[in-house]
Amino acid sequence: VSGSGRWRTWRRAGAVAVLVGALAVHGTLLVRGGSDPHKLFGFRPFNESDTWQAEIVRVGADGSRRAVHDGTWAYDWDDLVGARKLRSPWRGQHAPAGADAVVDFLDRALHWAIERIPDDRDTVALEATVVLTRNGRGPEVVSLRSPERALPERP
Amino acid sequence: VSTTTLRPVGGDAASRGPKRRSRLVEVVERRGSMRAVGLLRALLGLIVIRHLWPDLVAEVTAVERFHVPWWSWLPVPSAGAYRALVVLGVVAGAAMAIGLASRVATTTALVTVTYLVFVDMTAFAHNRGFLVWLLFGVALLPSAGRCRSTPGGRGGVAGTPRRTARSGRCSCCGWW
Repeated sequence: VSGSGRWRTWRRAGAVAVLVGALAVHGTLLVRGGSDPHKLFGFRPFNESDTWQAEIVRVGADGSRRAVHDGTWAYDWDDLVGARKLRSPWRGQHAPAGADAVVDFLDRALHWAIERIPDDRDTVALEATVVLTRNGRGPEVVSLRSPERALPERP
Repeated sequence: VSTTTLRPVGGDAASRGPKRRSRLVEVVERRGSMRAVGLLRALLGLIVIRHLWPDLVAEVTAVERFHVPWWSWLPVPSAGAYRALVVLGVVAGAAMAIGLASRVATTTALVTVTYLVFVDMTAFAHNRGFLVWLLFGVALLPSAGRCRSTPGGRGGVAGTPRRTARSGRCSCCGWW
């Protein structure tokens, strides 16, 4: 076999290997995306028809529960969290990326927010009760809770 | 990509190659104008600016509010570094739009936009993924001119294998 012929054979084999490898990676990501709440690299071309609505409360040291949007909190949930997809969770909303993605974001947001309320000297935890519908099926209720925090000492 | 008259890859190469080239090989080896790609690059530059503009004028950056990196091991920039990257991306987008050092600008925009997308999953939307994909495709392509990618830039007609542009186009269709 001449040098150019051998090169051509290797080139073709390399191209086939790259093609097969790319298809295998794509297939793996697509399959894996089915079990990932955010479907990373397994994105679907169309929005889900899921909806969600969450009641978020702050749990006081005495066990009392108050909604974060009742006007008595030192913080504003929308300003504190800031993420567009989690704005005004007490209003029913469409979940275009799916209900699981919203639940995952909300759970992380509770963990994130509880550590960033130094001016709140009463709340020990944040809780969310999420009502989901999955493509018209449901409702399904999911409860989330942040870790408890130690209250800051009063001056 | 363009309707400019096509011609096969250099005559010498063609004469050296097999006499009977398959129709598919002939199609993918054609050369053509990169003017349309230059126009796409300029438009993508404007889209990059539009994409980064909210972060540029926002009082609070994405890393100062609740955000979720795509991977836990991904380094998250400080607020200052985030703003610097946004400015860099906007400058790269402007350079793409006016055709200044367009390949370097496209690569810079690609890296900047991709990294900032990966830093915050909560802001992800399909159009952002599509922007990254298009930037990736255009970054692979030569510019239409030596330092210009504006429509009608000189040197574009000398051409590049259309397979490159064609593969980018197929990738975009595949993405959708």
